[in-house]
Amino acid sequence: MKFRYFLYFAALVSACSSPVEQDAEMVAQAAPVWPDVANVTVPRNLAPVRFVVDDDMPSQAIFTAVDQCCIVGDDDGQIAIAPDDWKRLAASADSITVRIQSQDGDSHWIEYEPFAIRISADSIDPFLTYRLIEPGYEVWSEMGIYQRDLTTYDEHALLENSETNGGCMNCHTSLHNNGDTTLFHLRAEMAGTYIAHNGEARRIAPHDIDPVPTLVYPAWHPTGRYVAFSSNRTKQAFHSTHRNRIEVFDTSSDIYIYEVESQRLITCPTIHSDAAFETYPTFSPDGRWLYFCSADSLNVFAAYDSVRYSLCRVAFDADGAIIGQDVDTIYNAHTQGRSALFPRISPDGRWLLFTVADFGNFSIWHREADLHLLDLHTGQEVPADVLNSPESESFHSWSSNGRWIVFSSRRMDGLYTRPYLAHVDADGQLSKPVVVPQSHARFYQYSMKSYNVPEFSRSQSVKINIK
Amino acid sequence: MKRIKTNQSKLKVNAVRAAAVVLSIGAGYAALRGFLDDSVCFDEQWRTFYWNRHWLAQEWAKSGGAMRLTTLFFSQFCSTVNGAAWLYALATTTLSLALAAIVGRLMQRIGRNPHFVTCYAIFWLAGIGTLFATESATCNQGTEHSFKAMMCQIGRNDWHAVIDGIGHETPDNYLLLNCLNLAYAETGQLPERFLQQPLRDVESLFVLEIPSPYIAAMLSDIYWSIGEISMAQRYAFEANEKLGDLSPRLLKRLVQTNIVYGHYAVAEKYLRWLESSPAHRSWAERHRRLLDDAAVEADPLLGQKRRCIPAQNCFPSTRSLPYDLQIILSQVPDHRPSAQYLQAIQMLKKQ
Repeated sequence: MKFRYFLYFAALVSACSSPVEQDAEMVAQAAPVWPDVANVTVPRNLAPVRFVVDDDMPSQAIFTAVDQCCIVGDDDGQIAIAPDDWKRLAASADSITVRIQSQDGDSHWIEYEPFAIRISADSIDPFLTYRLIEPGYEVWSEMGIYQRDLTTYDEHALLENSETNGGCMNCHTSLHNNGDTTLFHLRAEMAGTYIAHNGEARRIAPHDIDPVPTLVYPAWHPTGRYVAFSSNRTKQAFHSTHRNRIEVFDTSSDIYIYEVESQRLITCPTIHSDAAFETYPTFSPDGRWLYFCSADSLNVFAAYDSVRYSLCRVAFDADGAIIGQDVDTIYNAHTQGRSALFPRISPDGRWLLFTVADFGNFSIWHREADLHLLDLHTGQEVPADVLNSPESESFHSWSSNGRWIVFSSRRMDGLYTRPYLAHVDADGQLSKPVVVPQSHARFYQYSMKSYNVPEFSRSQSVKINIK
Repeated sequence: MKRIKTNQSKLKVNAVRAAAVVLSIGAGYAALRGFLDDSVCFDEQWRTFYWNRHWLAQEWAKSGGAMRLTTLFFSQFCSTVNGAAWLYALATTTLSLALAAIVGRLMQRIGRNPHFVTCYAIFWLAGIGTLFATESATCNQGTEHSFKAMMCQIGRNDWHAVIDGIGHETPDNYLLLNCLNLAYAETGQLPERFLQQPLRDVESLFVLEIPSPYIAAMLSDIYWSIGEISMAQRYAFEANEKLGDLSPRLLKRLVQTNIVYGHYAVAEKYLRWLESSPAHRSWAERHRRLLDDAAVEADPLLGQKRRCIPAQNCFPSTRSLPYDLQIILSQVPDHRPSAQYLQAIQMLKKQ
């Protein structure tokens, strides 16, 4: 009987014992961690970064910050530091050093080159809103708009298509990075554009233009009185032999501005012309400029790879809802020979982040698509290579303090889009991006959904109820 | 001494009972095995059991998750159709035993002979009979049943079974004709057989309406067979999406098409899922060895399919099919299904 109690006690002790630092042989090799978290920068308020050590050996990680240390053994193949331990380390330092030790023999341990996880004092908006959908083509199944608490791993649904008779939903965007006022589209049975105030969504009924165009890519005016939309006729075709799988192109597109209170649509020839495809509108943070992309309207079926979009802007007078007549070209597709898409301006108005692809306007299906950063004060681009990969980098948005960006990238497997965070300092210097951490490090390896249109939110949104 | 004898006789009775139970499970399995073949095989192409914590948690949370997980667990661990037959036989026997015990007790209470064995036999036969009746009502419905059977046979590349299953009468249904013509093309009989079919138009080769993911899966098989890899991938992806993302048959096609295109990272993602399924692990492990160009080019099937990819990019579609097939044949002259479909399309044009 006594022996049995001894066994119970021994089992309990071994289950509770913490890993200890091993006397390991140093190897001149980077730690094989996945996802790549070596030398990334994270906000102090982000949930703990978790990773797996991909060397098929029992491993442990030693996290050190100033005079504090935490040793974490692998659990189900991953190094999952506890949130409290992470907070304690992150609170005390601007960098956490991580040393990975792996056991390659009975009692022989090796230690890889250490790496750092830099902790930025610039906080990040605590919520991220995105659509989860398969990276498919013409059909869809289950999808929804979700919000993730970046300070924990919690995710909740704002709207799922099980509540909208299975219809497609897209292009959600919130005013001022605040979930109180959100706009989105529904397709199929409950088709329309909806604006949700504190979760109560109503379909808008634009008029003054007959027939009412289908509204697609939206952008709020900072006053909340207007929303700029593009209206696009979109087609897609499958490549038989191309580095990209499919080509999505517009056969026509124009821009309209919707006045929320009067529900009227306005436009003018500078943003609505048969000679050009105008798309992807966005307002400057001061509301005085409307930025958009514009390409010569070609026969896209014959010359799909010659359609290249310039970045342009026109003045906008919010008091009189007047659109300027002169178009400034910020990025000239004719001289650059490439296509500029998705302009997004930092809240302080200084930095313009946009996507550049070889041609076309649907950069998520372009493996060569990369992010570029332009200093609007100097008109010069600043290096953004650190953000990019051989796979597509596409949709992006700014945090409300302008110190963080979130962008979509397919770098993990070339198909499924994942949200990455990167820090931008006052001089436009960008940090190495980190994928939004999940409670299990292998989550993205198994997830069959893409993270679509990630946008920061300063507050938690309430669940959307459609009226 | 008397007590020992009593114990021995009790032991004998229990042994006989246990043997009877085992026998009845075996008999149930034998009765159901052949009968369930097509319908269970059809279902098993679209779902399976994954030893994966994310999947288990997700499935458990859904309504009816426990029952679904149990069914999938048994069917996969006892290998596909066999598993389902064992599971049904076991469930019927257990339920019959329980009901017979309850009825026996009730009869004893009212002072009558419990007739345990008779009760058990009645319940067992009723259980097996109900399963037969349910399966007959849901599956043996002409075209649907034939389509399900054909899809199973196509999934096994058993082309002769597809042709033999139809018998002498050519179907007048586009869906069945699509399956049958695929089998003819794979066995080199399409041009001659196509002439004898009552329905001869492009839809008897490729249906144009795709109201269900199973039809998209069938189109994926046809496009894969003729070497239109991008369309095979497209339809496999869309069907898989509609079926909840984790259909083993469609994941396998996605693995194949992505390997053919050299998109190894995403192929590996799908392989990771298949490797966590006991029923598909060995297939996945075999294909993991093909995640590099040299291995693909040396592989008889995937190497040939890779050579089918046109050297010049185009946007394939049903309309451009003859042109696309000519290109495939110019690159891989011995790709028989492409030649067979091209001949059939040319016959249609002459008509």
